[in-house]
Formats: sequence, structure tokens, C-alpha cells
Amino acid sequence: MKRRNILAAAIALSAAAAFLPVQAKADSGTLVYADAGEPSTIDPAKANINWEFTVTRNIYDRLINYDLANPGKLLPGLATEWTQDGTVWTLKLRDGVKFHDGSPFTAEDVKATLERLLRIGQGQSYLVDDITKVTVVDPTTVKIETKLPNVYLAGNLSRIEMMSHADIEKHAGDADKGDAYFGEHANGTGPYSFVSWTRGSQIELKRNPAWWGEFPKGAFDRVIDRFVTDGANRSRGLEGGEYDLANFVPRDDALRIGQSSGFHMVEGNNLWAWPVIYLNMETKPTSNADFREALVKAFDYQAMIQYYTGRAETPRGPIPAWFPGSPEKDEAAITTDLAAAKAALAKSGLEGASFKCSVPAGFPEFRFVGTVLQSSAAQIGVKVEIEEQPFVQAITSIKTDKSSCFILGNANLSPVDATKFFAAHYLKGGFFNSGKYYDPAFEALVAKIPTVSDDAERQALIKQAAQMIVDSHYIIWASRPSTVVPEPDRIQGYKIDPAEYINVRFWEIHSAQ
Amino acid sequence: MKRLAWGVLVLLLVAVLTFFLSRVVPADPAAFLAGQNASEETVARIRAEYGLDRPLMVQFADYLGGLVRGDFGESIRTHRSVGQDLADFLPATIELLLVSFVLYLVLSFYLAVAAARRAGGWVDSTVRLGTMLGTGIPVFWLGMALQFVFFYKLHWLPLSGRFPIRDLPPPTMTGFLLIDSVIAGDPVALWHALRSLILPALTIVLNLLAVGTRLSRAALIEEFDKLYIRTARGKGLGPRAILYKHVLRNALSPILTVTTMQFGYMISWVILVEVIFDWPGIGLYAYQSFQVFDYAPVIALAIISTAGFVLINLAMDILYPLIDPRVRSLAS
Repeated sequence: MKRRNILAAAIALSAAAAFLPVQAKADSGTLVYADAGEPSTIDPAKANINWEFTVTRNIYDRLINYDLANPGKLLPGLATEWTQDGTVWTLKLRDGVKFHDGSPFTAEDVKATLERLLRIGQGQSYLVDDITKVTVVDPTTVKIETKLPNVYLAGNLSRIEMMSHADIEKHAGDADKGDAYFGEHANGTGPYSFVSWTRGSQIELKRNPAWWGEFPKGAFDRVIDRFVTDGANRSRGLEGGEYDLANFVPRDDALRIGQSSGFHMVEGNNLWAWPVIYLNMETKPTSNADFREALVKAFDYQAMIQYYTGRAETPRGPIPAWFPGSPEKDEAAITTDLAAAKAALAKSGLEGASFKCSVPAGFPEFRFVGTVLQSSAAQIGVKVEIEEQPFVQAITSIKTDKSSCFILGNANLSPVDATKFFAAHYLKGGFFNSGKYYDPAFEALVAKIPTVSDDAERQALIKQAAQMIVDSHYIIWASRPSTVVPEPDRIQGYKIDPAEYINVRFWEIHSAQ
Repeated sequence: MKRLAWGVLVLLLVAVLTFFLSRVVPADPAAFLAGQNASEETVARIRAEYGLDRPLMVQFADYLGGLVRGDFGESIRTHRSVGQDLADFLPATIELLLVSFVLYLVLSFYLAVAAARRAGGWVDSTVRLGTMLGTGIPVFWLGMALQFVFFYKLHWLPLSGRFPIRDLPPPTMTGFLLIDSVIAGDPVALWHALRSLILPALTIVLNLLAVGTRLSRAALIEEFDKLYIRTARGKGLGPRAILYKHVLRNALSPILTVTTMQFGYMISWVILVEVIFDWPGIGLYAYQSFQVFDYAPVIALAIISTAGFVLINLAMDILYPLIDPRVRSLAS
């Protein structure tokens, strides 16, 4: 045989061998979760993005948990009892809990964690930023004081993850007080412990057999949080069996995969409204209240319901009906009414006006809602110019009055407290209050709500606050879709968390028996 | 020496350009870092911590000073020094680039020779048709198409990544998985690493192959048509001898030029390919840094890829006189 032929044969052989499928390993003990990004940090005091919570929430425990099916119902976590007496909350801690390094969990850890969180002032600290003092009463009792009475503190503590005071003290002397250390090391009391982080690829966790909670039968011993930035890849990998679960699967794919054989669909609520149109209160023509009313009434809500193939409803106000204390059911439906829209427009005297709307790029539903707004406004003779920009530029554009309209999605990270959402979206200086809504009466109301201990009285105030936003016509709530997550039949236990964006509790997931 | 000085000047220019261009974008990395719900004070504190509150010229001087010491600054996204990140991400990219480059050299060479030997024959027509189609296909589409066929439909090759998700990679020694597998004496790991390389490397190569093969083929055919080849044939030299002793030697200079350009393209394709295949290299790292306006890595990567270009051009300048006596005599 000629030398060249031997070479060719060798190449052909090795090529053929490369394509032979390698036998899939019998590895039922490992769960692979395709996450839409790589954490910037796994420091629970700084975690702020969905794929950071994926890691922190499974490694660290919270003092108080909540029922996913009914977020108003708080459940014991590291604390077993909690009581409020004016500005003081007293929590009784679970006995015998250990950190992954074997050290015991005590009231000292609660104090050190909260103090560090408030010092850093990032991540979820805004949910508990009214804490003024944390006192250790005894190893299993801790007292937390707030500026004013706050009925929501217990619920908001369900988002705060407990670290070890020994760790915090050990790194207090570092140049950055341990900030860098906790960014890539983790020692919690939670159901899974940190194993390794391969930069750019994945984070590996392993089951904590000493966890105080209970795992379902068939829970996974090993979890791999894989970073898959491309949405199409997450869909394809989930469908092809490379990943067991994935977050942020594009909606079209999620519906298709969820309904295909070998998969089922998990559907639930976590979105307050998506997309949402913010109108600029300070630029013409949207600064005119009648003009805004005309836009709200002209908007084609049915087009959005169709876009979401019926798995959506039209919001009546800012707070969805499933949220504890929501006034939604008593509010009037918001529907398309062209006659009323034209009347409002005539009253505004701004017939034939035009304005610019900034749309953050990369979200197909944002682009869609932009075109719906455009055609709805055209029905009453108003011209809307759509400008698609990267998120930061789009929000800067409306904040600096270069545009009159902005598109965003709404969700809330507290299971019980709507005022934190109001603060970010409708109070002066709120990050998402891009159209600069400002009403001193509304601000006073939002400040008062958490201090009212009587449930009925508090709910009346929430209703009043929600109504003020509705009446201002500051916002067009285009739609409120359900969230859809496809789950392979070989796996069970994934639930939609109403107080987070799409997220995962690895300790509840198990292989189907 | 003069070339080296020019190289350094180009690098400096790139550093200046990318530094100031990146600051024109109306985005606040400190606000990103603090998170949406952070107070103004927190954002201001972080801005100060990262020195983003100082005048632009001071920041630039500080940055240049760091560069001279080989310090690329700190990434606000990963909270690590860019140098540390590069040590993690660079080997994956170099491995992919080298494997692709070797694959490209071998394939383009064989295809061009096969086509040029009998210009107009069926091999030539097939190669020409194939390369024409290849030029028309965008890289991202090709990558996704390969994934669709070889992962989704056939289940022959992994969807993405450098190593199977559930398996343990060999201990990191060099960061090059192929080499680390060999050091660890782990043939299975080597096997896995090779399989993971196939689709991303093919995506890069198939696209470059189109242009590369066509240009190499043209260079070869031009030589085949020259009078001295006719003379060689006349004196009874066999086709192999003609090809290897005469045609190839003379066609090598233009082929080398094409190859240099192709390697440059490869560096730019690698960002797209790494994003498509979740390849944990500097392309993916750059892509993620762009998205959050993480200045330091972006500037560092611009400098590094420019340095790559400069070095390749320098290497070619050294190679030309070696393979072509005409250039040698010109130089002296």
C-alpha cells in the first residue's frame, strides 16, 4: 500500500471513530441545569442576577421560607418562630444546624450576616434596609429592630441568605473585607455545598447529607450549573437530553418542547406584567394626562393575549391577583376603547402628535409590543417612532428626556411586600421609575403601608396606592403572561417561584420513579 | 527592529482608541455592579473603589502604567484581575485556533493541489462548487447547522463546551486539554477533548476553506501554466516531481500571504464560534464583557488580538525570504 493511502485510511478511520456515539453513562445521580449566564459573584450579599441566585439559594439557607403555591404563607427555615412587637422582631432559631464546614449555626451568624449585608448595600439588602440593630439574645434567639414597625420584615427575610460569622470575621481584615473571597467561595447551611467553579463553563455542587431539611426520594447527589448564554442552545440541549433543565428557554421553544413527547410543561405565575410601557411624565406629549389616557385606552390588549397564545391576561393594575393582599379583583378591567381614547385625545388638544419610544433590544416580546403600540396609536392618529437600543442606552434615553416612552418587564422579588416594588418603579429616584412619576401623596402612602399592622386597613391603603398609579395612566400594562418551563418526564419537582424570576430549588427536584 | 517598533506603535494606538471609545458609551459599570436596587451612595462608593470617578486622563495614565507592568486591570464582572481571567480563558482559544489552523492548512492544501492538478476536471469542479457555497454561508448559521445535524439529529457529537459536562476533565497543568490529557495519561479524556473540538473547529475551517482553497488553487494553476513547467514536462519530469519540486515552491509565497490573512480572519471568527459553542475561551469572555461594559477585559482583548496580528505578520516577514530566494536577494 502506498504511503499516502495508508495516511488516508488512518484519517478516515479516526474520523469514523470520532463520530461513534460514546455510550451515555448511567449517571442518574447528576442533574445538569442550563443557566442563561455565568455568575459575576456567588457572594450572597451581592448576588443580584437570576443565575447568581441559582447558586446562592441552594448553598445558603434563609431564616424564613414561603409556600410557593401561596407566597403569603411563611414557613420555617433557619428560624422556627418569629414574632413582631412594634419595631422589634424576635426570632427563635433552629437548633443543631451546621455549616458545610461543620461549625454550628447560631444567632451570631444572623447578626454578622445582616450587618455585612447592610454595610455592603448591594444585592438584596434593599429588602431589609430599614433594619437598625441586630442583637444576639442567646445562641438560638435573635432580635431585629427596624426604624418603624414593619410587618413585611419576616417575609422579606425569606430572601436573605445566612453566612457564617466565623468566615466573615476571618476575612474582615482583608483589603476588601472578604468581598473577593466570598465572590468565589461558599460555606452555607443549605441543601447543596459548593464543589468547584470552572470559569466559563460550570459550577458544581454536591448534596449536603447533613442538611436539616428533607430531600425527596430520588434527589440528585450532584448538580452541575452549566453556563449556556445562547437561548437556542438551551432549547436544543434540553431537547437533545444534554441538559436536564434550563432557565429562560425562549417562549416559543418552551411551549413546543413542553408539549412534545418525553416532556411535560410546568406553568405558573411570577410575572407582574410583561411587557410594560412607561410613559415619560416630563416630556411632551406624554406629560399630558389626557394624552396618556388616550394611549392606555387605544392599546390593543387582545393582540398581546394572542401573542401569548391565550396563556396571559390583561392586568387591571400593578399587582397581580395571586400576590398576597392584591386589590386586583376589585379593580375595573382595562380594555381597548377607541371611542374613549379619541375623546381623551380631543380633550388633550394633542391630536396628530408624535413621540419616540425606546425599546431595549434582545427581547422579541418588547419589539412586538412596540409595534402594537405603534398601530394602536395610529388608530387615533398619533405617530410613534420606535428606537431599539441596548438596555442601558434605552433606559438612559427616557431618563434624560430624549424619548417619551420605554418598555420593560415587571416582577417582584419579595413574596409579600409590594412597597419595595413601588419604590423601584414609582417613587422619586427609583431605578425603574424611568418616566419620573412623582406624587407626594403616593410617596407618603407607600411609606405608611408597612407600618400598619391591621390587615384590612393595610389592604385598603395598598388598593388606594394601586389606584393612584392606574389613574395616572403613567403605565400601559400590555399583558401578564404565565411562565412556562418544559421539564423532561424523567424529572419531577420543578416549581415556578412567584417571588423570583425563573429560578430553581435543586433540593425539590428528583428523578421520576 | 523597525518593524518591531511599528508593532509597538500600533498596539499603543489600539490601547488609546479602545480606552477612549469605551468611555464614550453612556453606561455606568458601577451601577451595573451595584445592582438596580442599590442606593446612590453605594453606587458612588463603588465608582470610587474602581477609580471610575477620577478624570479620564488620570484613569488613562494609570491604565497605561499598569499595561507597562503587564497589568491589564480588574474586571468588574468577574471581580478578578484580567490577567487571572486570561490565564483561564486564553488556552481554550489558542487550542481551538491551533487545531483549526492545522486542519485548515492540511485541507486547503490537499484540496487546492487536487483541484489544480487537473484544472477543469471533476475534482476541480466539485472543489470550486463546494468553496463557492462555503463563501456564501455565514459562520453563525454554519455552526448552528452543524449542531443541529451532529448533535440534535444524529447524537454523534456534543452540542457545546470543551469537555463532557458530567465527566471530570484531567487536572489542569497547561490549560490545553489535549496536552493535559496526555500528561495525565488519560486516553479517554483526550478522546473527549478531541470530540468536543470537531464542530467548532469545522465551523471555523469550512468558512475559511472556501476563500483559502480558491486562492491557493489559482496560485497553483498560474504556476502550472508557466513556460518553465512546459520545459520541465518536455525534459520528461513526472507530474509528482513537477508539482513538488517546481510548482509548489514557486506558488508558496502567494499561498503564505493568503494563509496570513486567513489566520487573521480566524481570530475574528473565534468570538462568534465560541459564543455558539459555549467554548470557554477569550471570545466568550469578550462577548460577556461587552454586554456589561466591562472596560478592562475589552481593552485587554483588543490589545491581545492586535498583538496576535502583529506577531503573525512579523513571522511572515521572516518566513518570506526563507522560502523565496527572490525576496532574499531583494532584501540584501
